[in-house]
Order: sequence, then C-alpha cells, then structure tokens
Amino acid sequence: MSIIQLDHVSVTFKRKKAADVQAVQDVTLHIEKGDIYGIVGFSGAGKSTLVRTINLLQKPTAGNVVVGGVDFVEDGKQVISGKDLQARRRKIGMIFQQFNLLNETTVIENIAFALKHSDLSDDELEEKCHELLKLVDLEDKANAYPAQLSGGQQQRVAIARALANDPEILLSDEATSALDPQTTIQILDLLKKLNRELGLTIVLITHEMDAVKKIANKVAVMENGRVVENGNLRDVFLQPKAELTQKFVGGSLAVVDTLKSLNISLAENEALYQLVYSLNNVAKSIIIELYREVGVEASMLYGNVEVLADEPVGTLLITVKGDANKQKATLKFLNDEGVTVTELDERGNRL
Amino acid sequence: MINGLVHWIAQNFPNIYNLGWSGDTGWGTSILQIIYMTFWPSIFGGVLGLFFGVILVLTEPGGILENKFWFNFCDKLISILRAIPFIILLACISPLTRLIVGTEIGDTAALVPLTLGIFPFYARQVQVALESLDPGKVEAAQSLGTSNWDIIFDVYLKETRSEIIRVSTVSIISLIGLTAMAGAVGAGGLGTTAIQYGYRDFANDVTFLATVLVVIMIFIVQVVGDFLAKKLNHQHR
Ligand SMILES: Nc1ncnc2c1ncn2[C@@H]1O[C@H](COP(=O)(O)OP(=O)(O)OP(=O)(O)O)[C@@H](O)[C@H]1O
Ligand SMILES: [Mg+2]
Repeated sequence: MSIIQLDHVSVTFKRKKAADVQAVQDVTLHIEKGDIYGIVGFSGAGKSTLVRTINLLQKPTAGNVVVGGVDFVEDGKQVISGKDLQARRRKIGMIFQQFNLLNETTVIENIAFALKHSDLSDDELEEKCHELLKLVDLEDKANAYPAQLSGGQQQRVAIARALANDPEILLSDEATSALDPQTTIQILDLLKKLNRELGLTIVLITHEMDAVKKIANKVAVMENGRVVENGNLRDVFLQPKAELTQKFVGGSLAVVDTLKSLNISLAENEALYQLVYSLNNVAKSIIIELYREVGVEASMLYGNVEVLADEPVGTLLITVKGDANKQKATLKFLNDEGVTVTELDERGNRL
Repeated sequence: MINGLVHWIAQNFPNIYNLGWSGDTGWGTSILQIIYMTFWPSIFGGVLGLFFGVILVLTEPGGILENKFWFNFCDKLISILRAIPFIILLACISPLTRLIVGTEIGDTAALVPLTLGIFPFYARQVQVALESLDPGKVEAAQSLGTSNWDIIFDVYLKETRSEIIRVSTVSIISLIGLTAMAGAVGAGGLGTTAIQYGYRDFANDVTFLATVLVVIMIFIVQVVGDFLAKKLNHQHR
C-alpha cells in the first residue's frame, strides 16, 4: 500500500460575493514509501492546497486521504479525531518557503518545541536536539536566534525541527524558493541524503524544474487544480505528453520547438527519430555504430544531455535514410542497445 | 536639602504647600492613589483584555478554534463597551461596583469602572498584536502536532510578546488618563488634585504640578515599556 494515498481529492474554497475557487479538482495521487515526489506547476495551480491535504492543514471538500495506512478523510469527511491527528502529524514533517521558525526562541528551543509532548527526560531531550542539529550541520548555532541566521541555515533548523519526531514523510512547500542557487543545492542535497539514509518519503513542491530534476524520482504536473501528468521523472521529463509539461520541461528539452525552428522537410525514404538513453548504459557513439552495424547514415539535428536524479540522460534527434528494411533494422539495433526511440514527423509530433 | 526645597515651595507656591504631603489632600496620598488606581485595573483589565484578545483571534474566521458564535459574541461585547464614554460608564455601573467591591464611592470603587473602561480597549490592541503574527508560524506548529494550548502560549503569546508589551504600555497610559476622571466617583489621585484643588480653587500652580507629575508617570511607563519591548524582541538581527 502506498504511504500517501489521495483519491479523488477536491478542495473548493467558498467565497462571499464571488465565485467559488476550485483549488484542487479530483486529484488521485499515490506516493510510495521512499519516493521523492516532485509536484510542479505555475503559481495558483493548487500545489500547496493539495499537499496541505496530506496533513490536513487543509481539509478536502471531497475524496479520500489515507496516510501511513491511517484514514484521515473519507468522502470529504474527516474521520480522524483531533487528538489522533495531532499524533499522526508528528510523523509528517513539513517545511515552508518562509521557514516559519519561532523567532523568540533559540535554535535549540525551536527544535525542542517539536518534542514538547514527548516524555523524554531533559538530558535525553537535549541529546536528541543536538543529534538533530548535527544532522543538519548546525551544532555551533544551537543558542543563536533564528533572525541571526542566514536563510539556508534557518531552513536547516526548520528541517531539523520537522524531523524531530522521526517522521516517515516530509512535505516541502517551496522550501528552497527563498534561497540562492548555491544554498538551494545544499538543501536539496540534504533532502536527498535524508531520503537515502532515513528512507524518508519526500513530497517536494516547487516551481523550479531543476530541483525536481536533481532529486526527485517521480513527478506530477499540476494545472488549474488538476494533475495533468505524472509518473517517473525520466518519462515525464524526456517524453512529456501534456502541453504544460512540455512548456515546463522547456529549455533544452523542447524538441518540438527545436524542430519548428529548424523547419526541416524529410525526404521520401527518410525518418526522424528521437532517441533517449542513459549515458551510463550507452557509452558508444550511436551514429557511428549505426553506420558500422546497420549500414545506415544517420545525421544529427539536435543533441542534449540532462542529469536526472544523478543519471546522465542523452537526447538525440536524428534522421535516418533508408528503405523500410533499413529503418526496421535501425529500430531493432537501437532497442537492443537500450535506447528509447520515438518516431516523429517534421513538426515533432509522434507517429 | 529637602527642608530647603520645602521651605522654598512654602514661600513661593503656598497653594502647593498647603495641600501638604500625607493628609487626605496631600501630594503623597494623591500619588499613591493614582498608582493604586493604575496598578489594579492594569492587572485585572490586563487579564481580561488578554483573555478576550486571545479568544477573538482563536475564534475568528480562519482561527485555530474558529467559532462564529463566540467570535461574534466577544466582538460585539468589546465594541459596545468601547463605545460607552468613560465618564458615563463611571456613573452607570455603580450598582455593579457596589456588588463587587461593596461601595460606590472612593478609590476602590473606581477600580471597577477603570477595569471595565480599559479592558475592551486593551483587548482590541491585543487582538491586533496577535493578528500581526505570521499565520505560517501557527501552521508550522500545527504541522508539528502541537496542542492548541501550546500554540496559544508558545506561538501566539510568546512570538508577539514585544508587540504585546508595546500595546500594554499604550493601554496603561490611557488608563492613567482615565484615572483623572475618577474624581467623579469621589476617588483621589493626581487628576482629582489638579481639578478639585487646582482648577476649581484657581490654584494654577497646583494644576501645573499635578500635570507635571502625571506626565512624569506616563514617561516612566513609556520608558520601561520601550525598554522591555526592545529587550524581548529577537525578530530582527
Ligand atoms: N484559503 C483560501 N481561500 C480562498 N482561495 C484560496 C485559499 N488558498 C488558496 N486559494 C486559491 O486556490 C488556488 C490554488 O492556490 P495554491 O496556493 O494551492 O496554489 P500554488 O500552486 O501553491 O501556487 P504558488 O506556486 O503561488 O504557491 C489559487 O487560486 C488560490 O487563490
Ligand atoms: Mg504554494
């Protein structure tokens, strides 16, 4: 069973003197233990609202929410008591864009605050807090006040605080959006480390595709309260289906845009292929191999390498001249090499 | 030195001198009375004001204990009490005063209207101070599974404490202003001195000194308030 199960979840905000806002509409999303699940979309897409239904900071108006096997919401009705919810929330950490630390308490008190309910002795509490500070590499700042720290350091305190109760899940709502690129990388690396070492399941909301590319293994793309595309990072990234996803993935992977600008026309016996492959598996030069092994001449229109979750992934656009048999042999050869091939027309549409 | 000063006052400001220090009309008595009439209403009004301020913020739309009925009830109550001019409040609530302190006249009797006069004002200020808290902090606490009780004390009150001290200072200063009117129910204090023995007796020097003493008192409250507010603030570098 998935650790987070959202089934047909909707959130509608009722407003006075204005139309209701359907912030989330019929979203079904299952997140497995150990996933780093990226959720991307433009501002107002409903990402925050959706993720807040996981710890019921936002009550859904319809649908089911099951987290860690515990029913939170059934048919839009909360089925967990307030007390139980409090206890469950301790197993679902959350970090925010604005850190949301308590400014009138020191760093270590901020962390201890998360453990207030626990029956740890003072010594145990202190030890636990120091362990957490060590985990985020901030032991020397234990007695500082949050305002004395940099944004990255504050976010690390927030992470330590969110992890105080040994949660299974960490929700991250734009946690790196207020940070500079360097610090963003540090925080993402930390999240990745926590995922690897503690098996922490992470839900990562962001509008920075780079963050998702760096650490996520799955991704969902949201628009107007709906999930328009989701799946494995590699699939969504390299073969985006929804128009929005293509826009989002944008930049170097905008195969369609590239083709439009190239404005090519294919000859009678010519085919256009998009090749996607892991550079870890396919080290040879594909074009040379095609010539040597299959005897076809391929010419390259476009090439790019993306690093997705630590794996270098290449994308090539090639045209291959040859009759039907040659084309068939080409496809067979590429498949055998572990390359994902999609045949496209001149405009970049899949065939 | 003191004797010299007293002698000088007796010579130059007989009106001031004649009121004496410790008698019924004495300066020392008035000063103690105004402190008495400021201190207790600050405590009682402070507790009531904090209580209602907190309730308003918790029950307001979007609050952690959102409740239309109690929010509207408290909101209206505070608004109505605030709308009554203090001098009218002083007179109108004498039956309630008698019920609570057993008398309608004097310094102790003044404590009841003073408390009732100041707490709605303070409650509103507390409400504004608490609302200045970033709701994200409350959400973060909720996401940690913090109890509502801890959210009230450790998040709302602790995070806004310096703002609360600031509004407390403003409220205490307003309260000192209200005590000046307490003479209407036979209470003493520097306000009564200024009006009864100064203004009405055409003793301008008495009015002047009483005013200066009130201003000094306000100044002390302001300085102490500012100091505490600053000392307890870690919101910025
Ligand atoms: N409490 C609320 N009351 C009314 N409308 C709301 C509320 N919270 C969110 N909305 C609306 O719901 C929609 C989705 O908001 P949400 O904050 O989930 O978007 P988001 O994808 O997180 O955007 P961003 O990237 O800007 O954070 C928006 O149209 C927003 O205005
Ligand atoms: Mg958001």
